[in-house]
Parts: sequence; structure tokens; C-alpha cells
Amino acid sequence: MSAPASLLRAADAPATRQDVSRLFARAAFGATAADLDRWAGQPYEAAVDHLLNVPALDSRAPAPDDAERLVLENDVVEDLAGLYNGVRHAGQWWVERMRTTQYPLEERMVLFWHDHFATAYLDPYPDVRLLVLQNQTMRRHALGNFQSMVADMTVDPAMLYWLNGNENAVGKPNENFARELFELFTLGVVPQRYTEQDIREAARALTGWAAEGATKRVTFNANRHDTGTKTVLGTTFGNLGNQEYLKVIDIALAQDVAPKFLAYKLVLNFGYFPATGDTFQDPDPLIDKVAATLRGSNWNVKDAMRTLLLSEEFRAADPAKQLVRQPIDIVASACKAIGVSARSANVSTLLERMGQLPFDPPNVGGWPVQKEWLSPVTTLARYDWGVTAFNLTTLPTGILGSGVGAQLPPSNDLDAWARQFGLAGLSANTRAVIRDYVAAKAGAPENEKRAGVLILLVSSPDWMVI
Amino acid sequence: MALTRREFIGRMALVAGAQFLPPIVFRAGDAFGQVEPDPESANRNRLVVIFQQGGNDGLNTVIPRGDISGAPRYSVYRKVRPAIHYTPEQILPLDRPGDADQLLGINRNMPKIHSLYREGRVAVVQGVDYPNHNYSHFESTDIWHTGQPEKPDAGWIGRHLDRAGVPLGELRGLGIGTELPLMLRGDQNEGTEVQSINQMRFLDGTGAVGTPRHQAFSRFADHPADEPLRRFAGEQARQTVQLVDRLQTIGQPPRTPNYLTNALLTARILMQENLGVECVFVWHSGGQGVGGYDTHSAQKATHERLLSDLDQGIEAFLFGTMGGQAVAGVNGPLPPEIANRTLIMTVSEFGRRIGENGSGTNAGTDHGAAAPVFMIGPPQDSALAKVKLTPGLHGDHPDMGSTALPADNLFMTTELRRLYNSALEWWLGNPDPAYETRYEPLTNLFTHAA
Repeated sequence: MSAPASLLRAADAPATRQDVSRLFARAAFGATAADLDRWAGQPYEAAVDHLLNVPALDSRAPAPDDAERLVLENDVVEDLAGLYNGVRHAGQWWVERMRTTQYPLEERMVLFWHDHFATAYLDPYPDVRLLVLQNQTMRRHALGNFQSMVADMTVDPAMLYWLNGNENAVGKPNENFARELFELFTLGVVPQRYTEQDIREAARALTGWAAEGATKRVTFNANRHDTGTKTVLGTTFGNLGNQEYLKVIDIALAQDVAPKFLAYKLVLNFGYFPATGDTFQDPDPLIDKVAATLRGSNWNVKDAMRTLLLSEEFRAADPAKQLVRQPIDIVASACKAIGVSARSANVSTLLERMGQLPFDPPNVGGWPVQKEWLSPVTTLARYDWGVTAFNLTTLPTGILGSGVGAQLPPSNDLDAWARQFGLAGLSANTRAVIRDYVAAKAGAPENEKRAGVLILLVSSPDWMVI
Repeated sequence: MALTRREFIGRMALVAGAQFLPPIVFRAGDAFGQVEPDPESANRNRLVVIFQQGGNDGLNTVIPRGDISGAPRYSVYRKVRPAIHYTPEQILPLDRPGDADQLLGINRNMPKIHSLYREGRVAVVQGVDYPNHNYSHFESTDIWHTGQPEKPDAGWIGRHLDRAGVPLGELRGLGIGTELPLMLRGDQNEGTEVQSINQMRFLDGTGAVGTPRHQAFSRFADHPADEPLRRFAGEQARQTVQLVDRLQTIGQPPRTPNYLTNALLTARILMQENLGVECVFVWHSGGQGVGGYDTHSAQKATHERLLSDLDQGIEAFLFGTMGGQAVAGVNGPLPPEIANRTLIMTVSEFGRRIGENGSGTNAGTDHGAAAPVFMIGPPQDSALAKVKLTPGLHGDHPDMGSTALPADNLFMTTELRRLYNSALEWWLGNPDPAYETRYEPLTNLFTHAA
């Protein structure tokens, strides 16, 4: 179902503040007040291209907190003795990067890929160092070529541990990765787009790769590779040695459904929940457009994201097609809006309670989506996050008494609060709720009221659902 | 074709006008705590479902100890599992009269369940699955949650809640975790999720600072319905405020290293409160940094720990002990008025392949099909349960082939929907009309109490 015609606007029409707020909320961990001012009134396309203008990672000067450097210097994983603490440090490093990066869409894409190729730390492997390196590989391909991304993920050391590529050897095939390559990474499970036999044959083709030794260097061991003939999705091939995994990926991505499947995942994450799901029984014009771009560009993700973000369907802002923000996004965006470091806000502890500790997805299927995030348990965790992150537990001042707090608006200026949070405005109910709260606390100290405004804002429907 | 769980939930969010309301524990406007559950709820049978997440290896849970005429199960088992088999003397025998000649046993890490079996409290339903088995974790999990292989969109217990109703003031369906499982989501009604009692508190307290905020938070439920997801988020805020108010006076269970124990003890406390808890859902997977039942590699140690945790979790829930040792902070056994009405059921999305996939300590098993389900009922002499669970083996062990030609997989001998309808019709007294005639309750799994 396409959006009502009245909601559709041309890409070169000027962006409204609502457009900018929505675009940045979905693609950039929220707009700053400066973003709102800069892009409102400019052609919408210019704002999209600004976000998409991300130079290749390797062409940029390494940031002081680049992942590989941190891993080498053991900075990000300062508590390697306690593996779990290492994960928490890494999570805070990443959320802080989301908050501060010059290229927020790149980081938002890395979050998408982390969910798509969901890999969690295990004791003892993959440990957090391997996951941070995987995170950097995802960043390298974040807006790049999906086919290259799948290839690198297939022989990624963390992935080789996580989905048992390490144990996949001739005569003893392990199907774990092969199944998820089709089901979760490239084709989708429903309707059945491949057979159990395809999985078995693909597993044989992927034998021989392992991450080994003290450095977990990935090597191809020809002695462990199954040199027999395989037939995968109707294509038969003989021994291709260390090139065989690329053959399997070529075959998978040549399937008609492959670009639609990735398009579906992108629309689900950045656009709206497609009513057709990944069965594609009903037409979804946006999925079709994004899929056509992926196929036409030979899997260029940046082109696909441009199609998506510029589409009429994305811009229509249909109130029935909103997205529930995931906790990492909520936290990174709130820290960005307020101007507090993710480290000082102790985000890993809080994200864990909200159910989304980075580098620890619940399973290979990734994290929940949409309404799955909205239960009393997670609602309470998100409320308490606001209380804790800004140190508003008992003393009503917390960060409001600090230099950061001095920059935040007074309790009675809700327009200024909305602007601080990159919102074009507050919905009528949210505004009434917060306004009445402030009025009811008329005699309370100003910082107590501001604390209440802040907590209610970051736990409001306007902030949770975008 | 089937929707996945996540599609279903997302799709629900799109149905504007058909609001999918959470069960409101207390009606908006009621003073907190004024609505009490229906007194009749205390007399209901209770059902606790433990979901072994990842695909439990059924063949190392209920294990052949020998060959019987026409079924060389142990020989096949020994042959295709050179690294991860158990020897007959390591297996706890299923040796009740009527079972003994099957030469089966259960894993040595489940001693408590074995002793309950010998006391006549355990039924082992063999070879449970559905036709056209799906080997995907996510698809098969949805099917086990819903008992609807063709259309896994509403949980089998959620549909029970639809038919039975969720009266005001009741937590009739209770999930323990962060995310309400599909099993507890019906078309109109759904259960409520609680993670841990001590976390169901607002960190800013209940004083003059916190309470006005919480009252305001609750009003997010008034968000207009033309933004259905924001409205739903707001309703969760109100539900949360009410739930916190109800739970904050309730004590919390101790924390043990066994996550399943912690979840089951949380459920136990809530079952002992006057909250109308009837059906409970608990996940069992690994712990921090430890995988669950999806044992593709290095299976033996992981699987043994999981089964031991399962055994001790159930022991803690029923008796307040783990490995025979009292758990500090738990007040003895589950009170008889609840224990004598409670049925525990363990399920998983699938079993695993017959043969192992690696060698030595690396050996594991890939995704398989049918697997056994354990049901643990009240003591045989319970006077409260009007329905009795028939202990021992039910259904046939799946065919394992021969040593010359071992089977690759274990296929269904017991239809999942017949199992669920048995629990619905006999234990919960609420058969599913969708199962009528085609999926009759299993013969003799339950009987009327004498």
C-alpha cells in the first residue's frame, strides 16, 4: 500500500523541520539543534546526501579511538582478565563513537550490520577483541558493497567461532554457518527458498577455513577442505579450494529473492515495518525500489540507502508506520542530545538491563524489533535508564547541576527541550503530560523540575517511537 | 506460508483500530491494589512451561541403554556418536513397570527428575514434533510456541487466555524475562512479562520526587490511537506503573549462578501471591557468555551443564533445594496447595541429528527434528488435582535405523498438537476448538483422579 498522495513530496522540495528530525532520528542518532537549523528549508535531497557523504574508512585519517588501534593497545578491552567487563568497555566505546562521530549514518549502518550478522561473545571465543575487529570490518563495508561484506563475514574470525566454521571440515561438515548464510544473511527462511540438501552441500563447500593460533589469524587449510563436487541451489561446481566460499556467495546472491531480502531488512530498520514481511506475497513498492537499486548497482549499499531515504514512502511519515527505537539508539541519541559522554553515563550496565548490550545479541537472529521492545520490563528499564544515566536517582540535581546542565533549558520551555532533543515539536499528549507535571511541582526547586522533564522526555512515546 | 515471530509482532503493530491491548492488571482509575483476583483462581491447575532454547539434544536426554528386538538403538547410538555417547551404566534407567523393557534411560545430570520419575511424577512423551519439520531455530520456535505449524501467529497458551479470559487484577499468563514470548500472546489477550521482582522498582523511589513523575509517566497511555505504536508504548508505561505498585511489597528470591533457578524462583514467588497466576513461561538457555542448547560443537560439557541446571532449577522450584542442599532464602518446598495443582513441561524447538558432526571434544550435533518432552506433575497421592498425569513413557521412540544403515534423524512419533491439546483439555480444562477431532488428546496421558 503506498502512502496517500497528499503526503508525497518531491526530493528537491525544501525539507521541513519535521523531515529533518525524522531523517536524523532514523539515520543519524538524532538531529542536533544545529542540524535542525541547518537543513530545514534546504532541499531534502541535500540533507540526505550530507548523511551519505561518508569517505571510505581506509581513506580517512585514523581516529584516536579507532577500533583496531584500541584492540592492539588493549585500551577498549582494558579488563581482558574479566571477559565480561571487556564487553562492557567495548559497548561504551562504540556508543560513544555513535554519539560523537562525524559520520553518524556510517555508525548507524554498523549497528544494522551487527544485528544482521549478529555475533555475540562467548567464553572463551569469540572474545571481545575479535568482535571489535569484526565491528571494524563492518564499518569498512558499512555503506559499501554487500557482496564483499558477506564474503568478509564468512571468513571473519569471530564468525568462524560463533557459527562453528572452525569445526567445519571434510568428512565432518558443520552446518551452522551454511544454514544461517541462507536463512538470515542472504535469502530469508520463508517460503522455503533452499533445501536441507543445499545447506549440507554449502557446508561442505565452506570447509577448510579456521581462525587459529594465538592471534586467531584466519587461514585456509586445504587438508580440511572437502574437494568433492557440490550442488548448491541448482549450480554444480568442482573443487575451487579457497575460492569456493566466494562461489557459494555468488550463487546465493544471484537468487531473485536475495536483493528483496536485504531490501526488506533495510526498510524494516530505517523505514517502516513492511506488512508483507519477507514473504513478499503482497507488493511493497519501497522494497521493490530498494531491491532494484541493490541489483542494478551490484549490491551497493550506499545507493540502496539513498533510494530508501529519498523515497516518497520514507518521507510520507505515515503515523501508522512508525518505528520503535532500539535501546542502543535511544541511549546514543539521548547522550548526543544532552551532550554527555556515553562513558560517564555508564551505558553498558543500563543497556544490559534494557536488553541490548552491544556485542551480546541474544542469538544469531539478532535483537527484537518493534513491539517486542515494548513490555513493562523494558519500559521500566528505559525509565530507570534516564534516572541513572543522568544521576537523578535521589538528588534532584544530578547532571543538571553541572556544566552540561547549565546548557539545558528551563523546565517551563518545552519548545526549547524539543529542540534540544532534535524534535520538530512534541505531540499534544506528551506536551500536556510534561507541562502538567511541571505545573503540579510549582513549589519544587527548578532543577528537580528540569530533572523530571528530562526523564519524562527520554521515556516518552515521542522519543521511543519515531 | 508461515510468518515469523517478528513479522507477526510487527504486523500487529500496524493494525490500527484493532488495538492489541496488554492485560491491564488494574483498571485505570482504580486505586492501586483494590482489585483482587477472582477467588476461584486459587483453585485452578497451574502449568509451567520451560523452553530449552536452541534445540535440545533429545538423544542424549532420553538415551538408549541397549538394543531391543527389531530396534538396535544402543548399537546405532554407539556407532554414530563415538565421542559424545554414554555407556549403559552411565545412564539413569527408566525402569518403571511397563517402561523397563524399552531399555531407555535419562541423562546422569538429571538425578532429581529421575527420582521423581521413580516416584511416579514424571511422564516422558517421546518423539514429539509436527509434520514437515522446519530446521530453522526461528521458524521452529514459533511453531512450538503456537502449536500451529501452518500459521504460527498466536501462542497456544495465548489462545487459551483468549478463550478463558484474563480477569481484572490477574497475572493469568506470566512470562519471566525481558520480552513477552509468543507462547503467551493470543489474538485478544496476552500474558505479562516480569524479569525479576527486585528490578520491578522505579529507581527514583516512591517519594515526593519520584511519585509525581510516575503519575505523569502513566498518562502517556492517553496518547491518541492514530499513532498506534506510540499509543502502545504509552499503555506499557501505565501498565508498568501499576505493576510496580503491585509488586514492590513482594520479597525477591535469592540469586544463584543458575539462571533457570532464578527465573523459576521468581515465578514461584509470584505464584504464591494472590495474583491469579495460572500459566508460566520460562526460557532456559545459557548464561553470560555461554551458549544455550544449540550445541553444534563441543557439545558434551555444555549439554551436561544445561541438563544439570534444568534438573536443579526444577528441584529448587518444587523443593527449595539444589542437589539436595537448601537454597538460602527459599522457604522450603512449594506449598502443597500449589504443588498439588502444578504441571511442569519442558519443550525445545527441535532435537538434534543422530550422528555427531566433529571429533573428540569438538564433537557436536546439527539441527534435528523430533525430541522427547518431560512432564512433571503433582505427587501421586495429591488429593487436590482432579486430573492425574500418567507417569512413564508415552508414545514410541523414533526409529534409529540399523547399524548397517543408521537413520540420519529422528522423526515424529507424537504429534505436537495432540500433546498441547492434552494439556489444554485435561489440565487447563479448556480444549482448543482448532484442535478438535483432528488432534485428540493423547491416550492415557492424563486420567481422572479416582
